[in-house]
Amino acid sequence: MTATWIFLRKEALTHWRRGRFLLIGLVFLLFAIESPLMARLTPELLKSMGGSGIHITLPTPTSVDSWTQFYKNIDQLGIFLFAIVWSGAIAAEVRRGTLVPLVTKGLPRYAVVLAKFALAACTWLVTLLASFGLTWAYTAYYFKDALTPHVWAGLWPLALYGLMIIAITLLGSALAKSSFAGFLAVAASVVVMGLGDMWRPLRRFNPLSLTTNALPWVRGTKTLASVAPAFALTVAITAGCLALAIVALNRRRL
Amino acid sequence: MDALKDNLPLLIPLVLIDLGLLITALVSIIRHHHFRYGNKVIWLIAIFAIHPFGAIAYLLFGREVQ
Repeated sequence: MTATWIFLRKEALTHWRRGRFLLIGLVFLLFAIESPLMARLTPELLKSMGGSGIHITLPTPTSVDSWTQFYKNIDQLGIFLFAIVWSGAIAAEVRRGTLVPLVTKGLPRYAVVLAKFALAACTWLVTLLASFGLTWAYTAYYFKDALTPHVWAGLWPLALYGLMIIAITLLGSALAKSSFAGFLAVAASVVVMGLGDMWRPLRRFNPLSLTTNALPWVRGTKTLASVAPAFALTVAITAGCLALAIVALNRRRL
Repeated sequence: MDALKDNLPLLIPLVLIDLGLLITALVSIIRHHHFRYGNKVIWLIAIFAIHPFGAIAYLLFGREVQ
């Protein structure tokens, strides 16, 4: 565990010096501010595009629109930012040979995988929580309605889903040589989950349900228990991917 | 004008972050001569043409690792 901790600190320093934390933080802040703004401006934009001849009645934006934007941004862009940043996490180190001196000095290989996962997971949880808080504050200020009573209910499943995506990224990176492998692994699994989502009976088990149900949970029209098997499967896939990544790195020539 | 005024608490931080990303990327591109991918002209066009994704992409991929 000491080895993991030391390697984690080295990793954190590297990412800090490359300005990665700042960049991810700024992008997530952009999402947080953009969500309520888009919700407010969309009717105005449509009105101005419609011209004078056509009369369209548009519903007034509500907190539901704001949260819809938020979950769309994080789920379709935010998570992929993590997959991109950590895409070459292991593959690039193996290619450059930077792990060799550390491993020959006694750093266990599992520590590499665990430290990288821990760092990405902490960054994900902190930035997600921060942008959630900001969207929450803006939404409460601009949309004073009671349509979204369970704002927290959509967040935890998304957080868990993100951890799974990070684990898949690291597995891809541990298996292949390319720096893009991690990202490709995520893209492939999202496509598979998307196909699985078309088949109704499978949805209870599909990890993708953790993000697609965010709005019904926030509005209180569905309960978290409705996709309990998907939660279990997501945790299992996360743990499985990490275990496989450790095995893959153990067998790999550095 | 009213719409603009009402949304100022949202617009001001948004513009600040946008400008921050753009200026950071711009300064970095002007100061460097070697890039991991692409060259100076391509990145300069990219950060202005596809804002803010151009600047984010440059800060992620364009900068050479020292």
